Amino acid sequence: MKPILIRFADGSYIHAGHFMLFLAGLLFILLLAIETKRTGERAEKIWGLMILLSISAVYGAHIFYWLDFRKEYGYGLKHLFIFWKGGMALYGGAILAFVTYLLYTHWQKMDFWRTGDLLTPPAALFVFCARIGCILSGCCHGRECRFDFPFAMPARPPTGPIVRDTPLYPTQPAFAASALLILLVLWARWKRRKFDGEIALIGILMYSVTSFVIEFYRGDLRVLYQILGTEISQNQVISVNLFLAAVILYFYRRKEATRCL
Amino acid sequence: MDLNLYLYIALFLLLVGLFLFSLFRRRQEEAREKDTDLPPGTGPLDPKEVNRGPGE
Repeated sequence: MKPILIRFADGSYIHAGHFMLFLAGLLFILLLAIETKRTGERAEKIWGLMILLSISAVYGAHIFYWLDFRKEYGYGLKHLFIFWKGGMALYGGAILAFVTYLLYTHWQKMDFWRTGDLLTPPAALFVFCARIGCILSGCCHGRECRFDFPFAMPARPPTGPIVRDTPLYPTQPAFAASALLILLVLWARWKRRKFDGEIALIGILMYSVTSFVIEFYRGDLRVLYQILGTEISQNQVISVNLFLAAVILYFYRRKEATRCL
Repeated sequence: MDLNLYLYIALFLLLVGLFLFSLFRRRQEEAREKDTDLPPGTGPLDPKEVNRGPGE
């Protein structure tokens, strides 16, 4: 773990989490540029969409985090605007980015599903890099291991009451590995896709399932609910809803595609 | 200003640059297409029509 990546003589520094988000953004842009050229999509529309998506994703993630933890960390209204000094919640960014995506594709008369297919593999690569940032900065860490777990990570928690060097479940590497797996599956599926939107829906299905499972092992500060005697996090509630929506849409789209043949 | 903010600004400017560049290229392509468009009735002749003799 290395939360501060570079520290300069004047005391200023580059945070590992922010740097990895920057790198994730660069790789996202690179992959999207390649895909856009390959598929022959209108580049100016894609980049216009990306400008709005980047703003909404960053602010959505920060607002979501601020709403959840403003009391715990004593964040004032000022913190709502300085996103580079506060935390981020991935699902918050995804929700606001989706609303922006919906409005923009409608406004620009872009194909909702085909554009979604184009954006999903770069998004998986983005999540992979962002989760590497989680490993480096120590956020999103796991619960304490109750037994001799072979891949346990020593705790270097930036927050919370966990004792240093306690073995923890490696939730951040698990998140990163799942994003990489999703990326590989989507790439393998790309040429054999049967309908527009298939890639995007497979990506959402896989992410919601892996995220739901890994969340059980997370030990950092999160919003939790008691449902049927089990502690369920807010992210898991979103994962379940996302999964159900993606399953319904997947079968609907597949049926629609076979009817058109 | 915080250095971390510069990273986000750099990324955002890159996106704006890509958007403007692709928009510029699109306009150039559209202008080129417009230049090659001929008015109706002045398009290339059908070779069959050109080679047809007077008695045909």
